[in-house]
Amino acid sequence: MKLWSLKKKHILIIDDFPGMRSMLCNMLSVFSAESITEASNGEEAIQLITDNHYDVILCDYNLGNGKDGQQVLEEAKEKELIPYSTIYIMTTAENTSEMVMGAVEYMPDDYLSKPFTKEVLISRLKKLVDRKENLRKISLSIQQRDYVSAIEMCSKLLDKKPKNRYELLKIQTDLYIRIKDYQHAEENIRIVLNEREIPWALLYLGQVHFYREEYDEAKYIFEDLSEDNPNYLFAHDWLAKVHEKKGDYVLSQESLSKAVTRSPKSIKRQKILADISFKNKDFDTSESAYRKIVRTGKHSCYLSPDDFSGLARVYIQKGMSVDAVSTINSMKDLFCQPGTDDNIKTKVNEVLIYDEMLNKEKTVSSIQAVMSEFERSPGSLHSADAVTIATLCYKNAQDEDANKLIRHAIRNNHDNQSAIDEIISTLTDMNVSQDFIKSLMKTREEVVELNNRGVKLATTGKIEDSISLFLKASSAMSENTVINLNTAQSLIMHMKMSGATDDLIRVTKKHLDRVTFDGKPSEKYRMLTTAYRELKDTIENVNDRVFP
Amino acid sequence: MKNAKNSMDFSTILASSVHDMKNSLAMLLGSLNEITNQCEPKTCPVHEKFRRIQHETQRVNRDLVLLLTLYKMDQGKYYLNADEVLVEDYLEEVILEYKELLDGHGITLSLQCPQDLVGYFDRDIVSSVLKTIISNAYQYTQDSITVSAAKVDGFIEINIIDNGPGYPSHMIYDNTIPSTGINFETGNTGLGLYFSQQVANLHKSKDKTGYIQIRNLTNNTGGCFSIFLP
Repeated sequence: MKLWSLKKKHILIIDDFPGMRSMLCNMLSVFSAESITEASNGEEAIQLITDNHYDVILCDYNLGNGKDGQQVLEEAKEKELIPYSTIYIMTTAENTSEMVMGAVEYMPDDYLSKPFTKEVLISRLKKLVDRKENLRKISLSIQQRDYVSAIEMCSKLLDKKPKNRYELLKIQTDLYIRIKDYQHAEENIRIVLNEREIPWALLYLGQVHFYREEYDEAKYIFEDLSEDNPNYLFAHDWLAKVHEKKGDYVLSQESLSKAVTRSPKSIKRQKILADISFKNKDFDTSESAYRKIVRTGKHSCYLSPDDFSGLARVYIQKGMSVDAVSTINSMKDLFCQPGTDDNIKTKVNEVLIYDEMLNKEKTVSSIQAVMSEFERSPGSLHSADAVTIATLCYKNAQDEDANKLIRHAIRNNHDNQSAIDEIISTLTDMNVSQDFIKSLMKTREEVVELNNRGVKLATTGKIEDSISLFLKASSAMSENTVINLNTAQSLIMHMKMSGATDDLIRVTKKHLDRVTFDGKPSEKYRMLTTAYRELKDTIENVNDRVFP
Repeated sequence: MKNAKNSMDFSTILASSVHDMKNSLAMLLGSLNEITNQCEPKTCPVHEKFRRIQHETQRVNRDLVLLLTLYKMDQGKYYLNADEVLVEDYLEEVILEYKELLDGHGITLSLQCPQDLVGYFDRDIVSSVLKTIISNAYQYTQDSITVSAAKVDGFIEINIIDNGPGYPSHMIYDNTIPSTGINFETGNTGLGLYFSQQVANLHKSKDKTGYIQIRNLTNNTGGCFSIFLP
């Protein structure tokens, strides 16, 4: 047998306790680990993860003040700072089951409860490497949103009657649900449930009923599941969703409260609670949930300007306008980085809050703040927000600004008929004349023309001109699917001829990631992501990152 | 006699101090690990002593985990975290901790498990059970401990067999038979067995509930502990 070693592996140890870090270093050095970096807190860890590549991350759950291990993981995954191949192990002094149950979205590859010996650590690492390798292709397809291929790969592995049969069935069921193939999802679930009543299988069964709009069936399943497994928080989450669909907001809030009590640090869950209790006009609960988000969320990547405007809205309802204004001001302090989506979102939220407070003067002046940020960085304003602000502009006799914003929304959606229809109906509601709407819609043709010019440049060999045209266009209309895809296409054409670089790969990925779609990805998207992946591999193979 | 309210408060105090002790032990164990890693069995005359300290510290730690878990169960706050388990891999990891210690004492530790055996149970809590039983077997065995697993009637059966004098007759136990119970007064391993039984009982699937069995091999060739998980 070949001696297993950690030679050449880049390892990051995150623990607030120096004694623990040096102990882990010693354990790993026995297995020839050469490159070990240490971080004593979450912020330092995120910085290191952003700037470097790590093959293995050992992170303690409890990191003192600041981010905890789960928040580091969430941020690393959410911002795609770590590739699939990176092994993330959470070490913990507590019983792990509470952490497992509390997580909303991302889970580490493994939990290790302290104390553990070096033998156990290495044995886990070896197994995780195998597991990653076993699921590598499936995970890559999922990352590229190519769910159909991922499902086929699961079937192929399942045919071999593997040891991790349940795990594969679970992944496949999840994928069937994502592509709305509920029949196959249910078949998988039945296979498992005939063998034993596993919570995740019941959870998926409830989801299948939910998506088929069989809300009563879904309700019974989630009720039983949450009663039998009070710590299986997904069951409470889904029960709340069903109640909400059925219009039972009070029951929905009740289920969510149960889940939140068991996972007070989960920002995402607090947000849902804040929202539903607002709908219930239970402003005290909503306020306390929002305040927790704003307080504990300061270390979380999930904190957004919307949480502050949510809190401000609660204050408005409670007649506490002074607190509403100070909440808006803390939002502005926190998200003031110019050119970012959050910065303009902050200004949009400010407009909406002042409008709600019926403060006309402040509304108009904050519209001006949105406009100047929009002129500086048009790509950061979402088209839905642009339309919302435009309606307020019309209301406050700022027609010229309104027209600019509407054109922006049209540019971003020139090829998306349902979005265009929505814009037209909003404009009609605002009493904009049909003739003027038609003239606004000419913007669509401008985009078509611009796009054609870019494509022509690419097909006539002027690939660099095409890229610069598309990059300029996509920076102004960051939501436009056609423009984003063609930007990526020109970049890919260029890389196929002149070779890939880290920078070009990063820019291409940014444009591909901006593309959204309902259900199945388009053929063009699949083709481009495959080409992108191949080009990316050409540079990654240069740096050897594979475990022996 | 204290009233019920006071005694409940006391158990909470106990639980939180156990928690604190566990944290100190984790550090102690960490340092011990470093020491044993630095001194080679061949060159360091006290290596064996360190191993022994390490083992006993781990035992104390396990007992504390066990106490905490029993406390949570008592409060109705322990929730099973069951998951798909590849039994062979899992048992390999469980016995890893004992390999060196037992080797040093000339005790062979072997594993017999079908490669494709898959179970569905709470890893952490079942490993507390298995480690407690292996520690016990280590004290009483002559020169071998065997861990074996198999699928029997819809249950995963895990056995820990030693070739020592066997269990005393008052401990022979089968909780499929309702009349036999565990008697705390008759032996110091009572807590471990009580814990094992609780853990087994927590595992349920459809109409099946987990259970344990303690028996002696024929001709007094050793003792056998078995846990059955549905």
